[in-house]
Amino acid sequence: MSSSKITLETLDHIAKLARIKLSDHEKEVFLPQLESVIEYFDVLNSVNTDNVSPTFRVIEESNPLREDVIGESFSQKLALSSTKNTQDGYFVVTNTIKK
Amino acid sequence: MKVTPIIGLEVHVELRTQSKMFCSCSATHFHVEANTNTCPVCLGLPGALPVPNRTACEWCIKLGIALGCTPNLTSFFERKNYFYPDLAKGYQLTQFEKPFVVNGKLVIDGQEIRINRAHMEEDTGKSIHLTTGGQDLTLIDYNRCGVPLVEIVSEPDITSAQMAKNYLLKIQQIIRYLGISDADIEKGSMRCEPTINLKIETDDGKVVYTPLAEIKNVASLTGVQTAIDFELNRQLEEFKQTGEGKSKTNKTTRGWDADKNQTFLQREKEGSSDYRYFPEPDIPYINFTQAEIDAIKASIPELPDQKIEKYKTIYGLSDYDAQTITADFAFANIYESIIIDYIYENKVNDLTKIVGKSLKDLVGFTDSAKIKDLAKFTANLFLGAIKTHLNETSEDLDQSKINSQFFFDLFMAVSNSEISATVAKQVITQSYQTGVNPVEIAKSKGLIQVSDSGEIEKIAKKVIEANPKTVEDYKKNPMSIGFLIGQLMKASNGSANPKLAKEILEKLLK
Amino acid sequence: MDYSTLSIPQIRQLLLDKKATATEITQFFLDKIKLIDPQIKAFITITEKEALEKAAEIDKKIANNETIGKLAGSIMAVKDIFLTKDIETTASSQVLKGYIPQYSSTVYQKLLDQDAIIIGKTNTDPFAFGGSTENSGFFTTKNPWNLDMIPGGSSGGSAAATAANLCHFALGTDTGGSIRQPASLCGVSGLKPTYGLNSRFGITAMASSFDCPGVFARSVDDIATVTQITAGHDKNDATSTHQTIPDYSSLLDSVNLKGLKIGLPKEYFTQAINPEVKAKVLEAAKVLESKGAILKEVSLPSTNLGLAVYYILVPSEISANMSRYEGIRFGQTAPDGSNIISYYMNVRGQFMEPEVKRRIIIGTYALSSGYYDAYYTKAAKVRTLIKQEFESVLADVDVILAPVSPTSAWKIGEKCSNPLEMYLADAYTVCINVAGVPSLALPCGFNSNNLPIGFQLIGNFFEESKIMSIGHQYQQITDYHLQTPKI
Repeated sequence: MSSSKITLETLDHIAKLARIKLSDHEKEVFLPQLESVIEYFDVLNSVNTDNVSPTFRVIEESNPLREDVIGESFSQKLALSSTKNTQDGYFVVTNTIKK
Repeated sequence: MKVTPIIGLEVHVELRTQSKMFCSCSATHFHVEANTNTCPVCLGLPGALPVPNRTACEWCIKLGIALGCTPNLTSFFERKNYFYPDLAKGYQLTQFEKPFVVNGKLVIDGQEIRINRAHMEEDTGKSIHLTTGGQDLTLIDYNRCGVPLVEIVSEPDITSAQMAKNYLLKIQQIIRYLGISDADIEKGSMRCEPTINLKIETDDGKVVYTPLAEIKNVASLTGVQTAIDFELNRQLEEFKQTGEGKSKTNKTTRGWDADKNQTFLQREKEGSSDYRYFPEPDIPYINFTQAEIDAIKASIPELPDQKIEKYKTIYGLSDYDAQTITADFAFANIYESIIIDYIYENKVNDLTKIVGKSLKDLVGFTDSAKIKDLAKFTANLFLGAIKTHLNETSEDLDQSKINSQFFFDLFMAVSNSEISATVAKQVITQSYQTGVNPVEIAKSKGLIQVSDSGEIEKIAKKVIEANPKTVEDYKKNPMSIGFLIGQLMKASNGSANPKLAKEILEKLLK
Repeated sequence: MDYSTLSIPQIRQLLLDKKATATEITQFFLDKIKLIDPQIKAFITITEKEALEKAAEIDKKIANNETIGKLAGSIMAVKDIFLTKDIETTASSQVLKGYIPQYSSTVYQKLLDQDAIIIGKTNTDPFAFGGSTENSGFFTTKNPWNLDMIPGGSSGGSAAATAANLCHFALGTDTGGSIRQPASLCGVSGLKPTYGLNSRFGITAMASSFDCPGVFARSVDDIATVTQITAGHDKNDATSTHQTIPDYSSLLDSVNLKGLKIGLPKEYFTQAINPEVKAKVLEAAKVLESKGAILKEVSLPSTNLGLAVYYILVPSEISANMSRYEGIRFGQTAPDGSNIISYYMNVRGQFMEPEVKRRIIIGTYALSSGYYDAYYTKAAKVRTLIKQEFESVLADVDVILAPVSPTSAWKIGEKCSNPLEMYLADAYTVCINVAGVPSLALPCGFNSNNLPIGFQLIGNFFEESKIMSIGHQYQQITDYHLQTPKI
């Protein structure tokens, strides 16, 4: 599959999915840059990968599970220490969409 | 027009592990001060990495096997990407392509409900929405973020709201039998989301399916039933108006308003959200050997349906009694222990404690008919006298107050007509409270049934003498012997054997 | 005395012999940094207070005749993507400006536990996204050999600090060459270990299945000493190795150069490589040949696919790893928009640097519905082929020798406006990350402009002791690693 040209619409859609606001200037600069990078991906199309299984990790450790034991947690103070937006022990965000 | 409901259920179960799914913070989040059980991992801090909880994985497999699923010997976690403040990392660790278990089933009301899969995932934090000073705020507590959840997904094989409720009850019961979760819907440790549509066969032979609706925020079992019924009706009415059939893009999410008893559109049709699933690179493949799976399987206790079957065929209980006893795992096991104690070989020696009983009688107890008698006898006491007592005192059944020997003694005494059924009910309750052998209690209160014909005859003669009018009536109306039996029982303080009493009165009145 | 040219064991010995105190050594470096760093700008944060506190602690232990750690007295610089508890950690991005971490990275903590003294946090491309350190949200670091040139990246600050002798060793990470390339451009040694050897816990994640924390130093010997401490299983990192860690320092002479089969992959020596770089790298091979090694041409045919695989998989993992940066629990935050979606878009749009945004967008695109199979899955399958190729070549030869960068350092600003050109400069490093094998970068000369050139020794999985032994022996017979820039 050869990559279709990236339209401004696609870029807007992806930027929203990624939750990153792009200024008009940024979009103007990014679009050709992204296109050239993504066109480059087409080099993989010619590779025969029938019967090849994907590698998601180069080393598969055999024992990734942890015993069900309680360890140390942060104090509330420490948990909240990296932001000013807190109230009564909670993190605060304004303007979420009410459920 | 023929309308068939098509209902699928997604159930989330919060496991009662000690620690969270991917970190060792405590998994307790009920009545805990906000943000006190957190760490870099569940707070989604930079550089934090997940390490999965072995017990949670094993319990997911255990639940899957109990639901008839097949375990995948190799499975893995994936990232489900979306943004919301209570999702600390901006992605949820879950399973998509290779869950722990697949392809199970439950039979509910005679209908086979297929279970597509059960997989592990992590819970999100809790959001509290407030408005203060004109501003909308959301307060977030990450204590619940990372708690292990098992998601059970059924195929859309459920055909009514009642069946959906029964499916949920059965799953809840199995989960409680396994001891892996409280599965309390009100507390949120079990959550249900039905997905509903209708199959409509019009009079002119066309078949249409209405658009799918997923219902969220149903917080009780009756709520599930009501919500489903409402939605089925709503979809039918909407179809009559619009004739719209389901498509790939018109699935909606609807919330349940428990106050107004209706569903409401929650989100504009979003097609399917693009979660950009991909395998979690921070966690290697999870492999279980067949031996480990077998060990998990072996740790599964006898499940409700198996118990019910056993109670009906071997113990001879009615369906109703079997269902009622097995509703609670602990209750059922305590009941069973009595039967098991005195029937199976390893307890035969104890039978010699029964004073005066010959070996022949002991052998007699391995007879299946005797098992049924004891089982029914014990069931009646459990479901009757004992349950009543527990209801009155609002207590759970206390295993330490149940003594198998006592039940056996009482059973023998009733079988030998020494104690009437009525008295048995009284003394077993008192025995439960005091810890004294019920037969001893009966003896001490003079409640041992008199089955001595001579004794009864003495009392019968006195009763006949004292009630000449009834005796006259008896000649015309044989039913009036009932009054005389009653008088005889009264005169004997309830200790006369009523059957014998009747026989003797009849003989005397001839 | 110039403490900055001593090795780690030598520094420690000075302390034991009471010929210097940790405080004196630390002050020496602080003074030197104050003098030199304004020209190089390797450091974002200079941790004067913490350094002197640690030094005092060590001096107290010595005064009380207590055992001191294996790295006592050695000065370390830490790439600013390693979380250092109570010390500002910015990842060189405006997103984390002012962030004081609540916990430390495992690797950093292990070094602290052995009494290494942290002198500062070094500059990097933001979140390590880049190959020149020019993308930093704060400023660009200069190459100590020529202040108009880039130091390489992303661990440019650590490489520059090591080259300018502003520390004994420095921490970096190598996801696509970010230790080896700046090491080569700055004329120092740098090890990218096998994936999983060093724990990733507590380091801002770039691409989870590629990131390798590692060490810069002026000698392989010092790299071995430090790696000994950092390597090994971490219960907080499910991908970290359970392998037993050998005593690297005692194995530095273990490989017999005579008869050692060295593979030179032809795909790494094409026209694309600068002739001076090619010449110096081949010269390094010849040096080893002079000691009895056998040079052999080998082929890694999938090399040209490595960049595509890398630039699909890495941004994909980046796009998910960066989702947690939204200013709610940490990091800079912006006034709220009218709803939660615009809140997120504003915060991330305002503080993320262009290269950060670019990679997230590329990754989101590659994972998005409709493209996942064509890009992500396809790239993961080709990754298998690349990994298998390395394994099969390394079954045939003992080690692979190759250039690191097709050119020496380039001018600041030269490649900024063309990301693709920047990405192509990674051609010789990325395949090693795609495969997961270890590689050691070593200086092997200078070009006609007196800019450093480096080469890399690539081993099979967990063959760190082998490549370090070859590197150590190479450094016994050459002196490029001893050269220092004049600043």
